[in-house]
Amino acid sequence: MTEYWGVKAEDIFNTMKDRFRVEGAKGVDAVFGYDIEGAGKWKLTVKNDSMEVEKTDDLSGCVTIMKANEENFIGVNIGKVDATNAFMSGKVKLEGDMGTFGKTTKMFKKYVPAKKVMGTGDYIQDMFSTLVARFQPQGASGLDVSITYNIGGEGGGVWTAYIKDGKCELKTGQPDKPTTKLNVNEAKDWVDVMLGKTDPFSLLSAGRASIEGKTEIALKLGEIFAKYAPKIKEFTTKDYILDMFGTLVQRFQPKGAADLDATITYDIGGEGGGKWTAYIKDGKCELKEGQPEKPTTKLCVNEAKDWVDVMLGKTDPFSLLSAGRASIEGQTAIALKLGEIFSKYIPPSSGGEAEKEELLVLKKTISVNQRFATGPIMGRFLNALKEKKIFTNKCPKCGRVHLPAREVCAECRIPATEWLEVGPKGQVRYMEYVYFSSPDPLTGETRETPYGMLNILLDGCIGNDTFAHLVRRDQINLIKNGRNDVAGTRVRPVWNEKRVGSIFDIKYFEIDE
Amino acid sequence: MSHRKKNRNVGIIGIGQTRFSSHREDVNQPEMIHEAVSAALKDAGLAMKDIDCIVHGNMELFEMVHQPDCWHTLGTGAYGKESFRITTGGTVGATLSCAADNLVASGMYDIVMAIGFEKLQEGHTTGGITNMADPLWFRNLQTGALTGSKAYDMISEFGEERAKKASVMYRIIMDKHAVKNPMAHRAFGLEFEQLDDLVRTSPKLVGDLKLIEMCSQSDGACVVIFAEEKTAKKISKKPVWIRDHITVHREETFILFGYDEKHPVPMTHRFAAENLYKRNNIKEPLEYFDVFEMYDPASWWAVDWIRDFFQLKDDEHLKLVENKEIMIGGKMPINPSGGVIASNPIGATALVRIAEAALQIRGDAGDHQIPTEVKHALASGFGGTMWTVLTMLEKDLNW
Amino acid sequence: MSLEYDKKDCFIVEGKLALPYTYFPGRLGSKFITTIRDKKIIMGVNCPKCKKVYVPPRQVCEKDFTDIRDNWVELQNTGEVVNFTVVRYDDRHLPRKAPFVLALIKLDGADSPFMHILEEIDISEVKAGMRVEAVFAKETTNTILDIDHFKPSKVAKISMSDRSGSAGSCDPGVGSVPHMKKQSGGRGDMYNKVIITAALTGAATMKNQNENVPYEPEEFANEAYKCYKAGAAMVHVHARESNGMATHDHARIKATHDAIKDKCPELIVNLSSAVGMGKTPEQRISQIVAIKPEMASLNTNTMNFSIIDRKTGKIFIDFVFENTFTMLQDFAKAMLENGVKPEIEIYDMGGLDNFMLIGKQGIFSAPYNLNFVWGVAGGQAFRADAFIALKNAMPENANFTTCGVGQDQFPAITQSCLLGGHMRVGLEDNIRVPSGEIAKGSYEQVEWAVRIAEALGRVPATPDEAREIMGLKKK
Repeated sequence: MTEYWGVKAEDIFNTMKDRFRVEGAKGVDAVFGYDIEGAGKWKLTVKNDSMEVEKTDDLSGCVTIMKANEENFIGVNIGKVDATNAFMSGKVKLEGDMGTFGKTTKMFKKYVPAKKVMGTGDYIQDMFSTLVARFQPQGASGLDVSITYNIGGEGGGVWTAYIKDGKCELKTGQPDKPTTKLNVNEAKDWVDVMLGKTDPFSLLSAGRASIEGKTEIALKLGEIFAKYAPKIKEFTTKDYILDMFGTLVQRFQPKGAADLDATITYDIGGEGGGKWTAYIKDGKCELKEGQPEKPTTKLCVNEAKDWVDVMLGKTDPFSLLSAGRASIEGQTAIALKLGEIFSKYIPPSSGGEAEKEELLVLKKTISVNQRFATGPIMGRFLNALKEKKIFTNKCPKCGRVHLPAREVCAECRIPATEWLEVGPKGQVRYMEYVYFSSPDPLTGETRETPYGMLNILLDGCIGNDTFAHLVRRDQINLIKNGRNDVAGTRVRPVWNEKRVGSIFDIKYFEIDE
Repeated sequence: MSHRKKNRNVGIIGIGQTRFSSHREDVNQPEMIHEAVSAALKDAGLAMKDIDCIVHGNMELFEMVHQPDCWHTLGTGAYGKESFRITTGGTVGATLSCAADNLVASGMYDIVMAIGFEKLQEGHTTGGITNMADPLWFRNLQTGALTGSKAYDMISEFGEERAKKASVMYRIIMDKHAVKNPMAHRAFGLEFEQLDDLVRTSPKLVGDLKLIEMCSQSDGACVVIFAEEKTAKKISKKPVWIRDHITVHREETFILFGYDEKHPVPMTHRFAAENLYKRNNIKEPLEYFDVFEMYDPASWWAVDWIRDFFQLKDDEHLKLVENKEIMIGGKMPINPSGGVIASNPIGATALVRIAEAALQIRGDAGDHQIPTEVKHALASGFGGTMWTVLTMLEKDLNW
Repeated sequence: MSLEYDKKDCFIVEGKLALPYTYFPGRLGSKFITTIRDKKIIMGVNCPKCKKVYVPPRQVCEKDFTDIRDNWVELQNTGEVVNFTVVRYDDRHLPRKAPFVLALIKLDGADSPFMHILEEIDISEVKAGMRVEAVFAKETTNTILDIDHFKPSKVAKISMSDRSGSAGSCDPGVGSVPHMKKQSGGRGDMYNKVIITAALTGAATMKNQNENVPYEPEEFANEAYKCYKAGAAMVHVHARESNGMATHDHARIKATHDAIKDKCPELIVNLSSAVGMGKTPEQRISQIVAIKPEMASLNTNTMNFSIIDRKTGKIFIDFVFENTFTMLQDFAKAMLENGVKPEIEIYDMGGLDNFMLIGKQGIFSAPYNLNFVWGVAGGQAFRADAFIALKNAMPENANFTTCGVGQDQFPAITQSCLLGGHMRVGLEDNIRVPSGEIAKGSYEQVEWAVRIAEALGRVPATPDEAREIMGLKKK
């Protein structure tokens, strides 16, 4: 079983119980199967207001079976794959009764992947799975090397990037003699490096990492691969604070600090807080934890969260100051210059999709009453149905019998004046076998599928003018179409008790045995 | 039937289309139309002030907006201009072209803009179509525009395997075309190797009509600008001439399923093609035309209609499909744009056929341009209950 | 030919058409509705070519396809009934039970009328020309009914709205601007005019104190436009970065300045020469030289300019606002050379004396335009007698206006108006209106200033009239 977009197929099945909507399952009594290639098979049993889902190899008795591979199944469920496209192009297949399966869409709330806090192992996985995508050919021109990452500790492993001809390939394990080999004792340290919380040189000098082979390749890694930006993780205040101070030295702008000789202490309280001091002198900046006895300027913030908000531009420092939630000791002017001394903090991409503008979609139903005048011809035809008669007219020229009755023969353009009774029995010439029914626009109801719509050549009729009506549901599969040389199934109407002069004075047709 | 008299020749001088899509929540109807209007004006090198008259159309009831042409002025540019609204069902796009052609040819206007659009995601297609039918009779039975009857006919005639394969083959070819058209709505990237699999597994809708074989439901607009000969030659380097068009309607009912060989049903496509060719003295349409943009709502119909439109016999139409002669580069390329089966903004659809045919003649179709010169193009429209509009387009004034 | 039919078979079938549909208002329509829903603000779009503000918005001007989709303008929630009808029949699709009034309402700031329901009034009293205001729906539906209805309004139409024809009767001679001493008894046209300035933002008022504080150039432009529509002749501007920080960046200040001028070409733009804490003299004046606004502030004394808790006296930020004599001199010269008229900021009597002392160099041109500033932590608080003392100490040929921080704002401007001076309001000085509510924008304070002026029998000056009074070059 593989993850796609951080989701496993079983996550979707395991959450079905919680996502079940009773109101969407009304009147449904069916068993559905899911055959997800690579992940397994599941059986979903729905009976009115209850449902069960189980993982099983036995999909017998299912009215519909959905077949898809893991990627498409997960993608469609979390909205990463266009469902219509996947369905139409055969990437997601339905076997059996499509119409009933359609009801499952109303039966469950949308699956929303749980936001998870990424652990070290997740980060390592994510880093290496995105490594090839982050490969920058222009940074690796002329390189023909293999770079092995040997990461120890929890979540670690061995990966090798093979770079040649401006292409990069990643494999697990390592070759005999990689060009360069990077050993990191603890996976966590490597994550910190990749997230910019610490720098590789500290690791190397502390003996927590080492380089074998060509060192210069290791130094070029920043050019060969684009910066890693974690995708899924939700940053906590503490993460932000760490990230801010982790990137402070990088964000130092010597131009903005010319002639400055100062120590700036950040005293951040609350959860995730701490004390850091930036020592600025001769156009250089160094960051240390803690504070000297008398910093030039000291910025005190009561709550780390407030400072994160300031750095993310959600609030402004003056409001904090005027609200008494922050204060400045020492030289105020330097605090006011911080925006020049350090470039703006840009948080690592949080992976959440950028907030989309809201586009409204308004759903409405227009409903108007109508009155139709039958006129004398249609009126006579409809009135005859009340008497269980199919009474209609015929073209005196071509002999065509109209069903329903018409004033004029459209082919011959002369009035169809001759009336006669036809049927009510007849022979099926063609049946439309309908698997997929659209909702009835008048009621919003969907006709139960499959159903059959008959074109019946009623006794007394000739040619192509057939009578259209439904067939008794349980007889759909028994109907045979007719042609000149073959007789179609004989059928007869089943009349309604109450008849009002409408097409549904006939309930349906059934086989006439 | 004698040839219609044209007072003046009429040329297409500007073409604009939106991308066809089922996700246009970002624009309302006039805004979407405006995209195509702007594109057509840009293509023609004209400004709105140069347009004398506008014909505007779509399907009635599909967006539930009454008299949309009034509201759409914001996007159509009809402010202070003469404007007509036309709606004739699926053929509306082609009828717009006929009307614009007639308006210019008559001498009433020098430059006319035809605008077809549809926003199917806003409406309820089935509801709209159901309301076309006789309210006292078929409205109660009809459930939209799906039918498996053509599949049944073809299976009866050519056997199950051959017929089913031809239909899906046609569909894959259309998809291969659609992939080359950046405006196309559905472009799946289907492969010929999928043929057997799709025949077997694509869900059935009605009879043997499968999901993959049915057209999409798209949002989009198409605009074509027509001008009389002198103006057209002055404005455009490559005007495309409308040689002739023919419209054939018949009674409203679909109920022609008697399968009585003694009573052949006159089909509008064949009837229209016969008359059009006769009055234009075209003996072998398959040889004459270089490209055909066909209104193909489903692949079964499409395959069958090739026989009607080109007056073919027996299984000649099947062979064209099976031998991939309808592909770009083949003997009779059909729908290099991907066709209706790929993109179907209904009120624009038939106009898109004419626009795409004209682009082929101009040589401006981009990736889906036919490699050999296109001088004669045919475009069809289909709608209502089997109605036909055929339009002949020419590179040169050759008649 | 007609056929005779037996009519006995004719009957009527009751039918129904019930069709679901969906409507996508699109990007523009969605913003229009969601702004009404979430912010209770009605927006239109402005066509720069035909000078019309359309509501509801549209992406192109229908007349010539000018693309106007980004020219959003906030309109007032008030307007005028241009026409109306009384719906006297009931139908399911109607939004109200009959009888009710559907009115065409021209919102203040818009040119196209807009149809809505008019309620809270006896139908017989509805008249074309009556003033109305929007009542927003409590339960929103993402439709135009997120404005529930309009009701009669007491908010008068701002008489300043049409300023295209400026006061033609004015003597164009700048040199003859009368000095203020003559105004006390005079009722002449010009003496009676009061210049209202809106200080849209200072260096320190932030969005979280009042969300209407502008940061972006277009926000400045919209605010300025509303102030202008409300009756302001001038805006005072401290440009901001997108994060709200005061800036000395020329490009940003220019963008802000130009955005206001583009939207509202007639308005006088007065830029700050202070531009926020901790800026160097060079940073402060170079932007004025670079942009050359019609007017700019010029500060007269070095002083404490701090943030102090007004209740406890606790110091949050201690800051010295440096304005040495050298700076006063250099800034004044730079402005003179670049045709920028200084607005001389007077924080106390000493500042006035500093101005007059350095003025002996002849680096200021008459008339002088003084601004008495009250209530800065580090300056003096508003006192009526101190105001009179300042006014009496002014040189000849001087105009005066005034501003007050926080609660000093409205007492100070009322005093100024009484004494024949001008008035400055705006979110730079105060985030509230006199009722204590958060101001909807500087324009709401301008509306209050207009009311004060009207109560005291004075008339807001148009920008051109203000130029005349303050001795600015004719536009």
